[in-house]
Amino acid sequence: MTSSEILFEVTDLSVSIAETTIIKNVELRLKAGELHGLLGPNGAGKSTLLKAMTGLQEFQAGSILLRNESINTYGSDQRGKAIGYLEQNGYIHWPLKVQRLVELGRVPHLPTWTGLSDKDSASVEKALKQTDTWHLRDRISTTLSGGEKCRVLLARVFAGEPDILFADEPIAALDPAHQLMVMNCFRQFVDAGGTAIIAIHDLNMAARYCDKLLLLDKGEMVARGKPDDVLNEENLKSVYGILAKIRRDECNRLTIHSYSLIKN
Amino acid sequence: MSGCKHDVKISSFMLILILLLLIVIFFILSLTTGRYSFSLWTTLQELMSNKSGVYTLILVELRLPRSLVALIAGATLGLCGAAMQGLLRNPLASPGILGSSSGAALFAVIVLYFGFHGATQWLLPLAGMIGALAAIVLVFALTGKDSSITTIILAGVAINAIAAACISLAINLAPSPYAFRELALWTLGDLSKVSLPNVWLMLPTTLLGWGLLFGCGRGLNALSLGEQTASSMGINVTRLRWRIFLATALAVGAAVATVGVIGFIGLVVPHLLRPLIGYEPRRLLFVSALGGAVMLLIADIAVRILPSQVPLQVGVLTAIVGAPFFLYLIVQSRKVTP
Repeated sequence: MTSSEILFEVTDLSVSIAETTIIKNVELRLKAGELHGLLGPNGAGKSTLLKAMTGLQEFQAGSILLRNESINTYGSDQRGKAIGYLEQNGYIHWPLKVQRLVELGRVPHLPTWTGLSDKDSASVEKALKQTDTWHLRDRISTTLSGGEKCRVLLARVFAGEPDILFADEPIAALDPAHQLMVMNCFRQFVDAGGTAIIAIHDLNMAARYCDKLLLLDKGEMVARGKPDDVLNEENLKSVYGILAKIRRDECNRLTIHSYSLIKN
Repeated sequence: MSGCKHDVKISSFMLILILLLLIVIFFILSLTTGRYSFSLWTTLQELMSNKSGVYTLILVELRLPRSLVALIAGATLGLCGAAMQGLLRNPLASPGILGSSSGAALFAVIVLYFGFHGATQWLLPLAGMIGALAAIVLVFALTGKDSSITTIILAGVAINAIAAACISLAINLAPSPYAFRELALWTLGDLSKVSLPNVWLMLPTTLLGWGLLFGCGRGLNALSLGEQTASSMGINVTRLRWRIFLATALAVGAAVATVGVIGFIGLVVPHLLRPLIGYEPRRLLFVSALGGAVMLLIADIAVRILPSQVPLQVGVLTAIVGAPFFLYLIVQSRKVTP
């Protein structure tokens, strides 16, 4: 592993909001073609970390490097092109047609006065097909179901053709089928050479789809590595405060069974 | 796919064409409507052959400035309404929400109250523009650079209230019935007293404001997905916000300083046109400017032809027609989205 393979690097990052430290000395490295799951209980700092890495949140100490250069040296347009960010519970403010909404993904690529080029339209079409929302393109986005809306918003991110994608709890509100569908989208994106971090609460889903897991607790990275290394009974006990049984199913996939709260 | 893209383009092109046609029609009607009726064609011919008569004088000195100001101020109100609604992602926002209209009105009323406006004809419009800018500067000073949009709106509400209170005070303390009437009427919007120098005076800041606003389309589009997502796409949301506030103050300040406060055009026009262009904030800017111009031209023609002993103020008419219409729109939209 040489440093040139590393696309994105966070070193010793600390973030405070209104005098409260949210993120403490976090380190991580992202290479192309990897899907990372960001785990941690509510309030662990997952969203803040993703925002800081996207450039939406100021940080007090440490460095965030995109292709070996500090994220702060990038212009906002360049950053917008390189990094795609999927907000938690993204809201659509106007009843735009799905096609128009996904076209917004091209905003970082378009100068102020120009319309969509053929290349832009091709990216939009590809994104719609990738997320299985091509058939929805003439629908009004605000009338979609939760699962459809989530995929359409993801299509918006894909349309921008980012190198790196940060998604904040993209499957939290979805039924099992839609969860699988959306996770497959991320997997395809990564297998095509992209890099992604998704904040996620579903441990089984994380174990099944992600190459690496990052476990955050009270702003600190307490474990990172392959799912087998991160998801063990001690970590789940100390971080989430739950008792869990970890097994392997017939396909040798990690499964987390029978959660229960630690009685104190 | 290209088919559906094509459809939208054609329909918004058609919409622009229709609005331009309406502007031409009502502009000509506005030139020919008034106490004296004369043939526009013969008067224009007289004008071309350098003959000056009563009618050429009326046309050039009274009707033309009035129609031009209706066009310019109407476009400003429509455009600023669309930009403000896009920025706040709220169809109930109006151009004056941050106090630029009432700031302009207050400064103009102060000039009127002390009788300074007799000194030079430039003073009244100038005071209005300064008042609009002062209101925005005050909002900025009160809230700081990075406040939430809610804080900014609340500051705007407070400044609107203060300005309204001071205007009421000035009217209350008016030294004579004549001054009382002049002050009160000024806050109701009126195009009957504008002259050609008014047009030249309002034009520079108006054009500057328009230019700044037309460049905001991309940012406003991105804001459809919220401030976080827009920032992640490379939009500097804070800069966009203050650019729109400043541009609105420049353009609305110039309009209010010239014709007084005219409500509801900036509110109703974008609301009315939004479904026709597919709700895209960027597309809404230009058509709202055109729609605003049509609306104010119509309103200003209407106050001239409606039978009334006392001349009707155009701001009163837009409010009387606009408010119930707005109510109707709200009821309609409630039916669509439960």
